[in-house]
Amino acid sequence: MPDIACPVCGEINSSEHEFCQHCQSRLNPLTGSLKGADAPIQPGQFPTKKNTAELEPILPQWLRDARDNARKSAEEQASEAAQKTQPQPNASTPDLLAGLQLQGADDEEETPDWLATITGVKPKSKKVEAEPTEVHWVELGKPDDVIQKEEAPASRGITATQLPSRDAPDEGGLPSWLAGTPVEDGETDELTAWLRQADTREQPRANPPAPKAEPAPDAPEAGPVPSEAVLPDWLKQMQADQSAAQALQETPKEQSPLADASSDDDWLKSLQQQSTAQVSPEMPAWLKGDAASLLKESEAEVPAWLKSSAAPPPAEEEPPAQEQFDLGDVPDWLKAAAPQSSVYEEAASPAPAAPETPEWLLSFQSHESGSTPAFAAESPGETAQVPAFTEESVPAANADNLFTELPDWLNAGVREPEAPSFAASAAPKEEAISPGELPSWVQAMRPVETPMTPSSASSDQTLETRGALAGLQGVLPAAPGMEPLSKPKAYSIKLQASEEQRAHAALLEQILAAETAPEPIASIPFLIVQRSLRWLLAGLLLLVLFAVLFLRTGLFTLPAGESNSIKDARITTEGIPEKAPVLVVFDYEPALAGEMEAAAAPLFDHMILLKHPNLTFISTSPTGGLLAERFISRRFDCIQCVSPADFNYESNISYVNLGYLAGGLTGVRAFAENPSTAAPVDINRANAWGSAPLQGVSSLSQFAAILVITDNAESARTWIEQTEAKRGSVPVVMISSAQAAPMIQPYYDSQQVKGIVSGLHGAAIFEQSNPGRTGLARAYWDAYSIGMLLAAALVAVGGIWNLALGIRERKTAEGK
Amino acid sequence: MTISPDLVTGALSLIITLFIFSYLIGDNVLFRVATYIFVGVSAGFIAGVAWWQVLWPKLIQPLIFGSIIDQALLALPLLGTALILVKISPRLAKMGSPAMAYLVGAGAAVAIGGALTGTLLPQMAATINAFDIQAATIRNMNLLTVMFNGAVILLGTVSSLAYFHFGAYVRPDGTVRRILPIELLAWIGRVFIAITLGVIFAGVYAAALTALIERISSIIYFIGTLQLP
Repeated sequence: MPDIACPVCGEINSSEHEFCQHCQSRLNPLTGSLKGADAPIQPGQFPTKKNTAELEPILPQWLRDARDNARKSAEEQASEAAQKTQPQPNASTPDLLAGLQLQGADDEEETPDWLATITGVKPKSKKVEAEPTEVHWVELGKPDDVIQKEEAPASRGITATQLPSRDAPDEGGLPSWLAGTPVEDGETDELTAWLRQADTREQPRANPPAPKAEPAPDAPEAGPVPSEAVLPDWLKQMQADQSAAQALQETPKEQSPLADASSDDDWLKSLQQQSTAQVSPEMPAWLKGDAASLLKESEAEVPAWLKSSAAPPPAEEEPPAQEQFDLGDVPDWLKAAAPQSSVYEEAASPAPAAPETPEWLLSFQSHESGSTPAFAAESPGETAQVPAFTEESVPAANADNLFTELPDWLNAGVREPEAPSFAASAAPKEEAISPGELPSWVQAMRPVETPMTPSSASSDQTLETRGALAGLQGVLPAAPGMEPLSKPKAYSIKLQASEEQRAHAALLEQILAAETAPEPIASIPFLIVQRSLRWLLAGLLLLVLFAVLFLRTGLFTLPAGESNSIKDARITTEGIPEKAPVLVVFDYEPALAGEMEAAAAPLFDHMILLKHPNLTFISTSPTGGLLAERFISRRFDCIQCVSPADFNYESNISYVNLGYLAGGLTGVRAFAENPSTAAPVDINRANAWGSAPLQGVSSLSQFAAILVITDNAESARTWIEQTEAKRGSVPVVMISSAQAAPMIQPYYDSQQVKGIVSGLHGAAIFEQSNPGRTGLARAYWDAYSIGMLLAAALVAVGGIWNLALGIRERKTAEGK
Repeated sequence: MTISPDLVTGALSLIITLFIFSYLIGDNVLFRVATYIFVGVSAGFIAGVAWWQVLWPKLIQPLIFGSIIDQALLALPLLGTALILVKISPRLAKMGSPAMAYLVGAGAAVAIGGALTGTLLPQMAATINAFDIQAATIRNMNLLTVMFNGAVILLGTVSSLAYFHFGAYVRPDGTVRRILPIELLAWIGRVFIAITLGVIFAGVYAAALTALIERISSIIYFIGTLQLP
């Protein structure tokens, strides 16, 4: 057999076990799938009638055992009752107190609080034991009784300690004798059964009534006349005692509405006699133990209602409208008593009660002086008998009223349909008993007056006492065995971490917080100082330069000496044949046009002045063509400066501008391979290679010289590298910016470049080669010199300042 | 009264120059206007140059007015141009890959060949010839000067290369260091590199200073010409 997983805790259990070994819950739920007939009841639906015998398998084991025991005891009692020859008690006087003995035999029965307050005895604690069969008579019965439970919850038996249901059953759930409807043949319930039994017994029986036999739990109620076997045990016992009591005490019987009223006294007498001699094994301990004391006390304090029962019954009042009162199977004694008196009618002259007597007993005493109480015949003179439901003696008058008057719950069913008859009855009001605290067994028999709502689909009217549904009724019960029998384990939600782990977690948290924590910016004053210093320096420089340029000072002389690179450049230009084609490359940006023009002007002046070459302009920059045009036609912004414009070079006559050479280094390579193909037209989109400047020129090697005017070393390197193979012996002279000169110097050292004129400094040197011809270099030299000196001074001062700050900080750090 | 173009250009140059100078007080609208004008004009001029000096004379005109041979020779350039233009579309970008590959390959070949024959080999020879006494004699240079120059060049070259040598080992004390000769040469190379960078910085400053001087001079000249009747 495969193992079974517990549906509550999920643990694996052997299939042999019925309950889980861990949580003690049922492994196999008793209830099946809720389908078909077992489908849950929807709101608004009425529960379907079921045969309770089919439901027995789903009952708890303890209940099934109790039912079995009850059946067995009922069978035994039935057999015993058949053998008994004891006179039956007067059926007309049903012994409502018979149940008291039964309760007394139950040690577990708890003393009612109202009794405990009277007697001052602490109620006994409940003892856990198997439920006695005597208690189950109200629960058990034929399977049909279960259906009746659903229909008439009021008639459903409950335990003596169970609170009656608050929900009122349906009107159809009331027993017929209570609802006033004729008793149907098939209608059965416990109370009706024993009442019928009592009724049938009182007819033929002339002997004192005997305690009614407890009806068998499962004994089928065949007809309206129940057999003695149906009587509960406590009732049988009471009957037996009653007969014994009657033998001891001869008291005139009151002619009560109930037949054989003397039997009431007899059972009480017998009870008194037998209480000391014989202790019913079924009597509860509280009744056993105090039986003797109760007898003694009862002898002294006979309840008034018992005393009254001993007295000759007053003139019997005809039960008014008895014939009108149709209760079906209600015994005659009830019928007779119903119109006359009511246990709960207000007493006109309530008899003085003992100080410790409860109110309900007081109400009973009020009937002593009144008409014959309904149950007076049962206990007319059995003042010595102690009622079974009290530990101490009950006043005889009150006890008498208890058994001679109808309880309120009976009158409620009787009064409703026959209210007029009751109103017309001559029942003296002094016989009415004020409603008081009923014993539990009476309360259990009391029908619930509140109407049952049709929308209630649940038949379970159990009041929830725990959980979230406490206080609610009609809650669908949990499946038997599915409730956890043990308290669930409590798991702590607190993280179990050691101190070391907590320290590591705190450290990690600090690290993460430091990552996102913003660092304070302490450089705001420093930024302000920087901006001010920038403005100061800029203003100083602009002011100095402006002043020098405006004043045209000649403080600074041109640099002396001629470097080799400049010398070679000059020599190269002097070696160009006259009117020879010279290729001039304009590869610089417009931003540095001021420097480049200033650097190129002296060389061009020297070359044009001496050789008048035909110039061919080309550029690998899109703006080169315009720069070339600007250079060759510009007149410099200086007074008495020599400008290329002075040479009046004209396009396509003295020079040709090939414009933009596309392709970068590949374009240069292509131009070196075939210049006419690489640059066929000039900047005016005319055929350049047919013009005068390019007359007879078809290759790069046919140029007299190549002048590269550039502001970056990359362009210079490109022209040097790509024309290396095709230019042959054509000299290349570089006119570069001061920033590119260091990068181009190695090419001069390797003799790949014949000369370099770099920046304004080179122009100033070369310009000295043109005596009497001043150019931009002279105009800019003072400002350039002051600017360079100012920059050098500022760099020196700044370096010294930083050095001092560093030394001070180092000393400060060393001092700390 | 006719306004000479020089006056207009002079005035515009003055205004734009002042706009550029306004950057001294921080980024502002005037500076941005000047830069935007420069970018726009440059882009327009370059587009015009590309069309008139490249596409029209070298592609469109021969294709329309050229001979059959010229047109046939333009088939491949035309196809390459179209494939490169297709790279504008992300879906069809892969189609321009062959043309781009040709351009990249041709450019790399030209660059490598030129660098090899135009820079590496000549520079190596020049470095070797730095100690050439005969060449120095031809150039009328002092032998000592030639040797000193050669030594400085050699030391600077080797030490600069040693500075970029990052091979090191872990010492017993846990520190990572290069071997002593390399470490010494790297220190010397650091000096040469610093001097070189300083010279370059000086050159850049000189170029910028010259440009500034030219601008201030043009402003003064323009203002001066305005006063002239």
